[in-house]
Amino acid sequence: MKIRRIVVGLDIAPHSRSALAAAAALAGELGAELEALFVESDELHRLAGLPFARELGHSSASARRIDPAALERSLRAHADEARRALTALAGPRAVRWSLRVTRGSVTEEVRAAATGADLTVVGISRWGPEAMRLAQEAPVTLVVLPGGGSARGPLVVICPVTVAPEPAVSLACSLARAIGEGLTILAVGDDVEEAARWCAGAASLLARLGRKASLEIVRDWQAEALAVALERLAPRAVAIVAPTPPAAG
Amino acid sequence: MPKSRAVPPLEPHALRRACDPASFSFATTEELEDFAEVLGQSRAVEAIRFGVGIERDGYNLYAMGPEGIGRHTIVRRHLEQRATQRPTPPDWCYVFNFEAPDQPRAMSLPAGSVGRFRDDLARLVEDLRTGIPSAFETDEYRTRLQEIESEFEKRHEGAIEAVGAKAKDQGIALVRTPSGFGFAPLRKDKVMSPDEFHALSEARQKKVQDAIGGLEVELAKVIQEVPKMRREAQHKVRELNRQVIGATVTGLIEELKAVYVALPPVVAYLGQVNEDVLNHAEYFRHPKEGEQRTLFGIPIPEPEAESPLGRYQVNVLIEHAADAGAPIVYEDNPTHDNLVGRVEHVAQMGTLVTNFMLIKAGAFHRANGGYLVLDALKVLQQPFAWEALKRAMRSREIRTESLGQMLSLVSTVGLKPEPIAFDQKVVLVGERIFYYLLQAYDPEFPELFKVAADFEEDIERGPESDLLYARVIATIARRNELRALDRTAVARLVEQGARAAGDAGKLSVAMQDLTDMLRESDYFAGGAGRKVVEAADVDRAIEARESRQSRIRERLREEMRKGTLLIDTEGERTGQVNGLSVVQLGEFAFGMPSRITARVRLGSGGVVDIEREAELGGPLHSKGVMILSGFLAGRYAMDKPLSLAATLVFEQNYGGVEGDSASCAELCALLSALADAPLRQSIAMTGSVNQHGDVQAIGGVNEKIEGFYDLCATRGLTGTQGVVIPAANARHLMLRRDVVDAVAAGKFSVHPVETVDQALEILSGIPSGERDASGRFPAATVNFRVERRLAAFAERLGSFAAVPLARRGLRRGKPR
Repeated sequence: MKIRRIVVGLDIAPHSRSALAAAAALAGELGAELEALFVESDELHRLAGLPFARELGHSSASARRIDPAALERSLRAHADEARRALTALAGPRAVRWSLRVTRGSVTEEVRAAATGADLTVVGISRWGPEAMRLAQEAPVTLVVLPGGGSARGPLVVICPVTVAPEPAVSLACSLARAIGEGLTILAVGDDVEEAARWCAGAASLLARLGRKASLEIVRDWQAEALAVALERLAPRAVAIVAPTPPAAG
Repeated sequence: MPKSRAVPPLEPHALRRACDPASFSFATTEELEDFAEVLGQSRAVEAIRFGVGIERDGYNLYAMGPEGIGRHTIVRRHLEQRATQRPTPPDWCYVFNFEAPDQPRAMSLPAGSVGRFRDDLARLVEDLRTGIPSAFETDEYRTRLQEIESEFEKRHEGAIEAVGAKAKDQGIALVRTPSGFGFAPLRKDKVMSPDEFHALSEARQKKVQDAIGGLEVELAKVIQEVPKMRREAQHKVRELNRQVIGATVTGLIEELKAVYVALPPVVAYLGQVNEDVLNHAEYFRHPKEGEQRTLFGIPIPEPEAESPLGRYQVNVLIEHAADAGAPIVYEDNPTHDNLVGRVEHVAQMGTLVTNFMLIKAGAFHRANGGYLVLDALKVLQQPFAWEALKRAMRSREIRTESLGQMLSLVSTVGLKPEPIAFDQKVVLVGERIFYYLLQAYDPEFPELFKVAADFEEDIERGPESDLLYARVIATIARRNELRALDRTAVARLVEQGARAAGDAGKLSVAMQDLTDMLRESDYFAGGAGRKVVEAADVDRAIEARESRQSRIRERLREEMRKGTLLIDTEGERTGQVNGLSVVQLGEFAFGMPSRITARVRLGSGGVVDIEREAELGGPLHSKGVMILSGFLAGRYAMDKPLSLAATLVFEQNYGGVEGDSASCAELCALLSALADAPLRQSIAMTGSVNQHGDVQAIGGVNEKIEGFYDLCATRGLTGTQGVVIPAANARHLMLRRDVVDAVAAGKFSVHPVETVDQALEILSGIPSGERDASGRFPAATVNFRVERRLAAFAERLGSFAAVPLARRGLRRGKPR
């Protein structure tokens, strides 16, 4: 499960910054190329075009008129800031990077870009079905959740037992090295026995690598079922390994 | 022939009370025991014992007497005896005051334990520095922190999403904008484009806008709730921090509390430290070698006590060894700050800042629980030091505040350290004059210094005291590691002690002077290769000391020899006499003859003192001269006006004259002038006179006699030369051996007189004369001639008075 190309989806939301930091750390750790995708939401453009378009400030709650031209400038400033952040983060790690600005639905644009990527990184405000939707395209998707100022935090890797334990554990360890502080691997499989075997294999691999991680079994590959486990683990980031193993590359 | 009242000159043995070495039974001072007592100071010693022993307010000591008596040594010796018997006072330190940071707290600990307390606190901070960060690094802490942060985010996002969900139900989307949120109508789950919106009916458009307006109000409420949610989250984080480090901090501090359980103030302070650490756990999370603070790129130095952890330090003010006894502190530079202590400052970014670690102890702190010895003059010379001393003694507390604060000259924020109880005995050492001046002018002084130890300057001389003096000499010699002295040397030192006392019957107890003399004699004995100091060494030391200081005396004598200063030592002259004066130059005093002349004429002005007119004479000298008028009027002009205008002068005196010791000589000159009776210039005279003509004692008699003798000796002794002195001074005579030898050889004489008449007879060789039964002086006496002259003056003045004023060219009231 070699990670050569990482795509990170960015927008104007604050958690995009966490996603970018995590993606840069991963690219540095894995020696991958980083492609940043700044998505200008078309919903936003449509909102700005409405005659009564207003916005309420994040913290002031004061209402202001949204002007399409001002919105353009503001989005450009966000994209520029993302570029500066990329330069600052990627420079010291000698990561090769690029930034592309597109317009559309954030989820769709990221999914489209994820097609050719080995790992997709996005920031989301909370765990939900959207996370699972995003995870359908790339072999591995990392969703970064809000929380604190630190880029590092508890990491959960969700892995179907159809994927061989070896590449999964190796990937989980790499991710943990880059951004994790405490690793939990959720093995997802209907067959409990198979899942247990998988876990035993993963545990012996972890022991051989000298890494510490918790292994848990989840039977249902649904966001709601996973949410129960995630609620308890309160992770900073969740890596979802796609159910179908990618072709060896 | 009138009866002569001539008095015989003094015999040689009366001029110097020699100390016979044979009266001592020892060969050298090696054989003598140390003299542990204090020679001749029983009154002062008793006062010191009383003052040191009595433990009551105001019973402080003033040790008074001249310099070099040994006041410091004696006081210290008694204080040391007492100090060892008294308990060691507690140690003191200043610690941070958590309730009022500008008022550091003073804390006392048992003697010898404050250093350990300081180290314990330093170790506690070190332990907390490692213990607290590791508590924060536990998985438990991280998870619980994450939970709080997630909960906050969840509440925040949840509230917004709830508004979003509500909006969606109404067909409206909540859209995140670059700096906030906006609402837009939906069409098939997508935000409506402007064209689609315009295509709606107006009623529909209005409905949408109204719905959005309502949602915006709701969202605004949610956003306004966020700061409260954040505060709650922060509060939870603080509580979490307290809980997480609580076990570590309280555990460490409880251990310390157990050590200091017997000291409630320390335990209370540790409790405050505990609370403060829990409230400021973030201080301990900073790395020890953190980034240096900078301003515009310039590094800012951060003193240790300025750092947040500096507040847990202990500023040791006073530390005693546990068994040291009461302290004795002599402060030889008693400035205000050196007494009360000071709060130092350090420069930081161009301003002066301070903290409780910069409080420094003063002499009051060091002497607390013991004794403080100060020189009275030094305290009085230092600005505000005397006031500070009295304030501390009166209020019984030591307040460390700078002069600037005290005088309200400095208005910057400073520290007000908590005062420390003032518990010590103060011993002032000073001259008598300061004691009496303070008694007279400072109403607080008698209240604060109730015990005066008055040191004697001399003791009565006799065989017993001579031997005690010898033991003192032996003690000093041994303490100063000097050669032993043989008995001839001791005898010479006894004689020198009497000479220093200015009285043949007394011995000076100026120990500094005696010690110096021993050191100097030892030096010469060493030069001569002797193992024991002999009389010759003492003589050499005395001569050498005199020679070192005698430059001015020699210059004056030289001028007399050359005739620049006119002093006759032979022949006779009317209205002229050699008076004797003492010149004091530092420690060295010497006698010199001065020519005193008198001129008389008819007049009504009485006796005019030219020294006084020229403002060269002091008040005592003027008084002496005024007495002469009283004497003249009382003896010669009872029934007629004293029609005399006389002038008196110290010839060639350009530097002022004080004292009345020349008044008898002045009277002799005056009477000589009136009687036209020449006076012998080979006899010099000293002594003051009263209105009855009695001659009274004066000071410095030895120096005066030797001064005239030396001049005569350089010119050649004729056998007629001598000095007239008051008879009352005869017991003070302790003349040099060469003078005594000259008298013994009949080359010089010393005449003690009781009245001016006796003096006048010696000087003029003419009997003075006494009134006979008819009240007249016999003819051919000095008194007869004086009375006749004054009567003639009165008669002549009477004849003048008979002439009308106009004829004398004088008119009343007419300006001249």
